[in-house]
Amino acid sequence: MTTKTGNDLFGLIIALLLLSIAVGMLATAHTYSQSSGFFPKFIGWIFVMLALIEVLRQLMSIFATKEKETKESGDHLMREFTGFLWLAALLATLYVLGFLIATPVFIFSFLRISAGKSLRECLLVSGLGTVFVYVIFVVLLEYRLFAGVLFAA
Amino acid sequence: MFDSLLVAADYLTGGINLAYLGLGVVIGLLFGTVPGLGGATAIALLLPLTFGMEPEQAIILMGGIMGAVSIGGSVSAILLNTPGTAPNAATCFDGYPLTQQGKAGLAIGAAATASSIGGVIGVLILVLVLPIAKTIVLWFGPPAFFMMAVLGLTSLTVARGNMLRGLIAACLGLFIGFVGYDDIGGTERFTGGIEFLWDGISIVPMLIGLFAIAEMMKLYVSGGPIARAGSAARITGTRQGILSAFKNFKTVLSGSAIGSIVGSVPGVGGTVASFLSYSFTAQSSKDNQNFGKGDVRGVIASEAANNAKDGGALIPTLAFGIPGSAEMALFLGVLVLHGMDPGPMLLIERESTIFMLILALLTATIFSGTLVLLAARYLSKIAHVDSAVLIPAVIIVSLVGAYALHGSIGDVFAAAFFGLVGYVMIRANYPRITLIIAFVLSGLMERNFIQSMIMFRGDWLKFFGDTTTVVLFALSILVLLIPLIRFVRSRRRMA
Repeated sequence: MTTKTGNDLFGLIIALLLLSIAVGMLATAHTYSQSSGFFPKFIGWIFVMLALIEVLRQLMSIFATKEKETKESGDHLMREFTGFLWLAALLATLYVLGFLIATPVFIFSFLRISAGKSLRECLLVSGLGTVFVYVIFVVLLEYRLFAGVLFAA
Repeated sequence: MFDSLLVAADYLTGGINLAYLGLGVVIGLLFGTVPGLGGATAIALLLPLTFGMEPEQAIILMGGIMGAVSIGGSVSAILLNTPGTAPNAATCFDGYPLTQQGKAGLAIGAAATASSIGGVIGVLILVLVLPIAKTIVLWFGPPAFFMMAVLGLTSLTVARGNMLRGLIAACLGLFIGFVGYDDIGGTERFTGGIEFLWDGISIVPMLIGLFAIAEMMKLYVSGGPIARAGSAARITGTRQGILSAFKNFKTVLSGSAIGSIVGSVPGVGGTVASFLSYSFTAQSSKDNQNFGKGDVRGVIASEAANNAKDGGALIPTLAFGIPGSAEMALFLGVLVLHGMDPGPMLLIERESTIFMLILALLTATIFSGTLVLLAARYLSKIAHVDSAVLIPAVIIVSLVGAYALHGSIGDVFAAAFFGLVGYVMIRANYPRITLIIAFVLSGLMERNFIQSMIMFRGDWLKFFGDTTTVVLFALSILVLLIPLIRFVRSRRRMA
């Protein structure tokens, strides 16, 4: 579970990020011609104002919090981190080796490492998953799936 | 109108089209039954598979999914006390106690029948309202269309709870919509020189990321099984359940009316509709002491409203191109991908296509209700699917689907990026649906805003020279004031 302060801090980081996006958007909109920049400028000003209010709201919330527990649940953060690490690993494998190799590799490793499934189960599910992707996308829908930079060359 | 209906019926029953409808129903039931998946994920995943289909076939498939999802969700709500989709939560109140009393069949029968009748009534209301909407839409000029979109977005932000974050999400969605080549001014906007962004951000990878990938990430982080281990209930007495829906037809009617009306308000959605219908029935019933302990009327009220909302939600989607829910935003994505321009011209130029959707929804509702009655026991087992298997499978299919749109690896990275955005939005409590609907509306809003300003020669005040625009503006302000009114009322009560 995340503590109140941890959530407020996360909320503040997101609010600051949004404020910077809004300011960036507004500044960029000012470089466009009258017709192209008119509506983005209009929305940009509203965006900046709203994001600023959210930043202030988050700051007030942090200052108003009495108990100062700054330690967020390690487990939760770790799971979030590993979740996105899995996604990043899949993207990298996909980019290098293509869909038809990345699919069984990803499903097998995920089931084996993350879920601790048996070797037989991992082989079965990854095999079925790859067959499903191949039959639906390549055979039936006739898509040419990305072969990966390694093999495309 | 009658000719269009006949053309639609002829197309729906011809060739492979009925099979597409059946496929949509089965997929909708499966995605509805498994908690955490739902209609939006089903449409996002299936969307790329429709590229090779005729537009009408894609619409039939989606109609099948939309008509079946909420009925599927009621099965896990009744048997496992875990709602398949958020709007089925109200069904748990009386559905699960009935299962505990050994009356699962009664609850399933009542839910499937009420849901089917509710869906039919919702669609009939849509058929009645569409010709009126068509006439109203023709009165609308660019200023009124702009204000209509503003009203849609504001009501959406208020309905989703945290208004400030909803408005911020709307601004972010509009901003993402600005990325790419601007047709009006002929400028590349917000691309940062990245060639991939010149054509703008495609809706398919965005939807796949925000809904399918983000949901899987949430499932991964939360860990554990999808559904709580429920008892393997014996399902008998479905016939009594079907009859009880007819015996309580007044409840079915009131639930359907509430569902249709609430569904037509952008952003309010099925959850509010089913809870509202449930509490209305509980409060208006004389002998209401059994509500929450296993009263079949609770199941009937929530399920009738839940399925009737789809017909209502299609009114602003089809008439104005303003989607009222995540499913409707995705459905608009399907229309756009197949070369259709959602909005008033769709109603005028493609009447038979609209009727095809209506007939598909109607058939899917009845078909899925029947299927649930026959296979509820097996469907409930699907809710126990291992999340460890589901997560990599859904992520892989999502990324392949994102790639399939343009054969671009950039779309795969875009889907993963929006998966991250979607997860952060869930974690920080920003509404994703507002972002996606604002993104969909950005083109319509900018086009009508610029046209209005040209018409008014830059004079803002002329926005208030037209009654329709003034009424829509006043409604937007009123909607924005609702949280303030609520706050003042609660303070007074506390004092």
